[in-house]
Amino acid sequence: MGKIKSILCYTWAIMIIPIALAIIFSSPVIYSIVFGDEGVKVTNWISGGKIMHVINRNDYSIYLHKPVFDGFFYERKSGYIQIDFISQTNLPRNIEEVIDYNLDKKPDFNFSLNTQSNLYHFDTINNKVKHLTKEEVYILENRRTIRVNIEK
Amino acid sequence: MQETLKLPSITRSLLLIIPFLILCSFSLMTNLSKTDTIHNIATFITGFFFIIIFFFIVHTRKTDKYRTILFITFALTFPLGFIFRLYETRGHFMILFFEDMLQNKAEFCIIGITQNIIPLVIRNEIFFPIEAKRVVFTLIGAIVIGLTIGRGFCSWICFFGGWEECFSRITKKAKIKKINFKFRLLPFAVLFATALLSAAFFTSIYCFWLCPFKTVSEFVEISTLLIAIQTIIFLAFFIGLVIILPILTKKRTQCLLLCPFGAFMSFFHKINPFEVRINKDICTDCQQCIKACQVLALTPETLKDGKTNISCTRCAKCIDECPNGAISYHIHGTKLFVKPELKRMLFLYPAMFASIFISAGVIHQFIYRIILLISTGSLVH
Repeated sequence: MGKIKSILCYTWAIMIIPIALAIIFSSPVIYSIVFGDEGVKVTNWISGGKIMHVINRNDYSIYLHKPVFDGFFYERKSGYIQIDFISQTNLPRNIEEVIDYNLDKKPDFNFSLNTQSNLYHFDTINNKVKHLTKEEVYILENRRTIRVNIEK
Repeated sequence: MQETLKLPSITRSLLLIIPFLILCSFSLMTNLSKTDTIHNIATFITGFFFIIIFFFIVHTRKTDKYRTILFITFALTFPLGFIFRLYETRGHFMILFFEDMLQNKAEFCIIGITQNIIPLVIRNEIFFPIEAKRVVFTLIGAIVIGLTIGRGFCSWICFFGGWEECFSRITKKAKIKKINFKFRLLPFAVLFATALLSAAFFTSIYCFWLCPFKTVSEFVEISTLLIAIQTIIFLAFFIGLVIILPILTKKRTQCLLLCPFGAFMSFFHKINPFEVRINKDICTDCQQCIKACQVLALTPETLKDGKTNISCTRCAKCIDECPNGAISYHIHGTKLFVKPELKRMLFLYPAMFASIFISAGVIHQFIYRIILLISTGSLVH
């Protein structure tokens, strides 16, 4: 019995490299079996959530994302909505928008931004819209992104 | 009794490296380019370096001595190759901007796995700005390494641990000699705490707040007070745990006190074929091995049992340091202290192969940049 166990253990030690290689090269298959067609995604708290609606202006487009309230087991009461202002070339000097983030055809907040100085003005209309801090106005090339804190 | 080991002849050593040569060629062949000569030269030099190191490990039986050279080389060469590769792909060095995060363009390191297992299993989500599939492939890779060489990852593959190993070897004697053995449990606490906090806050807590190795890879642009605090914390950890404490203690203190990935790999201690055993018939209880062990895997209690604890990284430092040759690699389930050289070789093949498969790219990138600098005068394409 001891000898058989010993042989099996030596075999295991010898075969470990081919087994490891077989598993590594099967990773894409393992991935599709375990996670199916939907696969794995980056959390909405990092990605900003799916784009829900696009509004085209002359110089730029506004991308409204789906509000993010994700919690680990249940949705949270407070979250945020991401809005991108993206231009193919250069953003205009001033952006002034009345945003309806939940698409209920009622304005939710006013947002204006000077794209040169990046000074902004933010007014809430809907009481579910909470605030927009300086850290949540992201300055990117030909693009500004804001993450506005909202409640359910 | 332990079998007496004589140094092998050069011919025998050359024959013993043939299996590694085949594995090494297989690994490097997949990395050849049809158009880039510099890339191929770097590949050849990298392969040659690994083969030379393996030859010396086999021929001299100084496993730890030559492993350390390889290990420190990973750590020291990593930043140059990494930073310039980042520059080529993202257009800037080291700093991770919000734009990169939105496009999932962060670089993922294996330590981040520990922060993403819970959301991956429960929500099919990851909490790191990277192409999500890569996290799954990295997790599969980590499990495979665990099943192959256990926590051997931490001494044979990790391209960060070499920094501590390097600093721990600067002084001849430790200034701080006594470290409470219970401290080795800290990484397990860090693993559980950060994994749970990551799940609660939807972010990779260890990666963004604690990881000291961001100092030599990439870090988030300091645009808010919060990020400034995170930066101060990880820089302090780098200076304290990677530079100062390793010099004072001659231990790998980041691995010993903080690294959650090391703790994660410890769970594979029993479910891989290899371990390190102490022959109590030969051991004189001089405790040189306890002093030598850099991760507190040997204690007076484990020495009595003739085993290392689950923190063992299979680095072979205790094996090399033991004046009586009482410590050797062992294969679970086989007769103790029989055919120690065969067992050592059977461990060395997967350890070195995993090393070349995962970390050769680090040395390759470094050599590639140096040749590029010499031939074109620039470190980037």
